[in-house]
Amino acid sequence: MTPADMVLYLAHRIAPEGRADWLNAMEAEYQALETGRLRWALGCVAVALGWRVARDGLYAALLCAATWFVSRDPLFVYEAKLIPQELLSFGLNPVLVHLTVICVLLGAYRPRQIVLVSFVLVTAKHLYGLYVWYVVWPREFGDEMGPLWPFLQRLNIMNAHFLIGVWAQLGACFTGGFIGRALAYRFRPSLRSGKASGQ
Amino acid sequence: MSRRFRAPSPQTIAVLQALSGPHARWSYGLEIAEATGLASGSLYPILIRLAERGLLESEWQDPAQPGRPARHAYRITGEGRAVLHHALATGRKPGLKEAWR
Repeated sequence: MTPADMVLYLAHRIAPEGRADWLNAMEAEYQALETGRLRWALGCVAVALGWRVARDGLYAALLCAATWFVSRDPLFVYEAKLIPQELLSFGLNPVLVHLTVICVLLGAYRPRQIVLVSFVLVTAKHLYGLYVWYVVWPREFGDEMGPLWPFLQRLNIMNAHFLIGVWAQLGACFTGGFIGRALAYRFRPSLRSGKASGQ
Repeated sequence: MSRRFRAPSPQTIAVLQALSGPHARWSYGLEIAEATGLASGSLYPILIRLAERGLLESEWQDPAQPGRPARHAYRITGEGRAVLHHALATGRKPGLKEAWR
């Protein structure tokens, strides 16, 4: 397999399913080429990337924005900059509310990816949370408090037991996502007839 | 119902010109790329857009030599010719490769 073949293989991996016929057309010309194959294959990758961005770019941007937003929750919650402390109680936890609302929207937009999205959001959120607890908090408030100080200071259902918080957030994502999915299937007839494959 | 399109780019006009010989014959992507000087990454989005707008038609053709893959060929439609003539009449310059050298 030549480098040009590998580049062409990459183009096939990148291209959305609906564009396979056009990529095959480009590959047929590639097979007819005797020189300049790598340049042609790189063009195939560029075209495939364009298709992918056109198809998934907005969704990727929304997912990045949602990930960034939910990842900021630890700062908001523990420093109470934006969210009143009274809300930090079981049942009204703003983290769960955020995740549910975001997943309703994402689930309505791409109903078939809500499980993956839920894991991405919760994982990203907790990775950022670890960064805050172990890097940001000691830097701001000193080592004497220790990284678990926020847990101990603001004990609630979200941090009383770590797994409870994680599962609650995953549950919020799934709940929101499936609500969004139900709304999408209710109001988007193309999904019911299976025309929007992969969405 | 007629659809309204943006004015075609010079590269799009060059592709339409390459396809609009006196005998409306089928052309392969490589031939169009050679005639226009466009790279594959620029040429195929134009071909796709033209095909989706009905300005050219495409079909898979059997290989000339056995063992080679079938090739996708393109031919301008009547609507494509009309768009080309209109673009040339209104002063749009084709982006032929000679112009870029």
